[in-house]
Amino acid sequence: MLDLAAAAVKGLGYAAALGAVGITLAQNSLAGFGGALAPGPRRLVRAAGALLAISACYSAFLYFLRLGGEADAAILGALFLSPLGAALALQLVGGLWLALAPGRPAAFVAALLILAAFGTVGHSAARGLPSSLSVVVHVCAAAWWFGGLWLLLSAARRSTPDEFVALVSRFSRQAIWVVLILLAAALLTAALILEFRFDLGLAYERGLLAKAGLTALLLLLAGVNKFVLTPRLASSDRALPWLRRAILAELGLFVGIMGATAFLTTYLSPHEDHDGVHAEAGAPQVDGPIAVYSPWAPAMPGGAGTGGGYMTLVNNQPFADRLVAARSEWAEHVTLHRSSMDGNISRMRDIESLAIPAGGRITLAPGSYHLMFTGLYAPFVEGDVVPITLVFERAGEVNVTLAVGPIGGMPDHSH
Amino acid sequence: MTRFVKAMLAALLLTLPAMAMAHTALRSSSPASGSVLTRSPSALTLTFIEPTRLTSLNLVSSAGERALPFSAAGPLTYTAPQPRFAPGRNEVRWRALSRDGHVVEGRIIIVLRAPAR
Repeated sequence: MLDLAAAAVKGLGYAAALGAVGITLAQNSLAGFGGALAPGPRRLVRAAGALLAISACYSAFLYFLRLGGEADAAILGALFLSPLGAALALQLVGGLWLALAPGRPAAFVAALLILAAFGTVGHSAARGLPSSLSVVVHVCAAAWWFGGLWLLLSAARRSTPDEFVALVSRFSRQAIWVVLILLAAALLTAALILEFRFDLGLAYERGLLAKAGLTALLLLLAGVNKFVLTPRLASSDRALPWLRRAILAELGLFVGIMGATAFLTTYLSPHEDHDGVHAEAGAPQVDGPIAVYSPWAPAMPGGAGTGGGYMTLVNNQPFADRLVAARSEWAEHVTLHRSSMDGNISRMRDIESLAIPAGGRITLAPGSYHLMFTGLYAPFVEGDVVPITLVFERAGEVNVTLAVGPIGGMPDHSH
Repeated sequence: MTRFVKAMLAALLLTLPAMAMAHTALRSSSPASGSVLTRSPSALTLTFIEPTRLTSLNLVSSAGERALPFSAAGPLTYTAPQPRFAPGRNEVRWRALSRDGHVVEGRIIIVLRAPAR
């Protein structure tokens, strides 16, 4: 729940930062450096700056809770004496600056401070200076585009038709370059973060692809605006309302992209599955003469002293083999059992060994064959990983890690 | 459009629970998670994959829950001296801030049993 709140605050922060910075940048480039800001966009910059400052504070508070919630040296140090603290401080100062003094030439400096925050912490910043710079350029271009659209929307309401047409054509000319820079920086940043490896099986890459898809929609809409609606502004009355709607839709897509980015940077990591010690528990152990698939155990209610263990064994050898023993450091004894139904009565008995034909498989499952742990030193709790050793007559010893699932059920293998 | 947005939201929400614990930045611990020991070790050491700031270390055992004091022993390594594990199950819950600004967390299970008779 805290993670979800953090992602939401982050998304809000992105929108506020891009709005405040973007309107400031676009105003300077579209109306000449230091050009006066109209009252509408000025109010927007004020509100976005204030929202950014508030979201930086709230984000710091959420980090404090998620890191443990104690006001001790370890947590306060990690929060404030770190790139994270520097980035939040830049957002706070830049946001307050734009909220208090929007539209002055010096507001440009505040915009640069906020942009610098994007290069201070995050996946790109952690990879080194090149990716840090390229993500700042990417955010800068995205902000200009986002802010420019707000300026167009505001001008569509207030300006005379001639002024508006002039503004649109200026925006249009500059936007080509900005969009090219935006896309080049996006590709460069992604390549640097992913170290030039692109694996669509990983969630982060799929997230990036979703972002690219939304960006393609945005470009399509921008193309319609530029090549269909803008040339008709002078000749047709219906072009202006349609252009306004299209700009609103573009802003909506922008919000979608920022939401996707907040999700991507909060929940996913570009280096997932390349490392991580827990990735191995419960994963198929398919090499060697005996392959073991989904070894698992249910969690035990009320800390009982006995438990079961289940898996599928595949004999990769050209001859039959037998499971003759099992042991685990967690239990005094691990024995082979078979449950069977005798009429309506469930019976369980010890078996000496379990034969697996050459190339065959056998499944240990509830109600059938299973491993029985007795004299457990600690109960199985969901999420535990329990090391066990299986002993086969011909293949010898096979080490397996049982993944402990919920009480009475299999563990979730989706992650 | 609204149906599309709803579908996207539903897809997003469905993926959330699986993602919540997705970041695992711990390379190893000593003793390793899943270890069964006969006496409490003199120290618990955590080694991360990349520079990470450990912010919270809590031990949950039959003796209750308490914070373990810890200190940095290098850019990747933290040490908690004398963790004083209790008999049975010991769950050490850690939380940290990773270099790229993620809150990462995990747990280490150490089982303490009586020496063999």
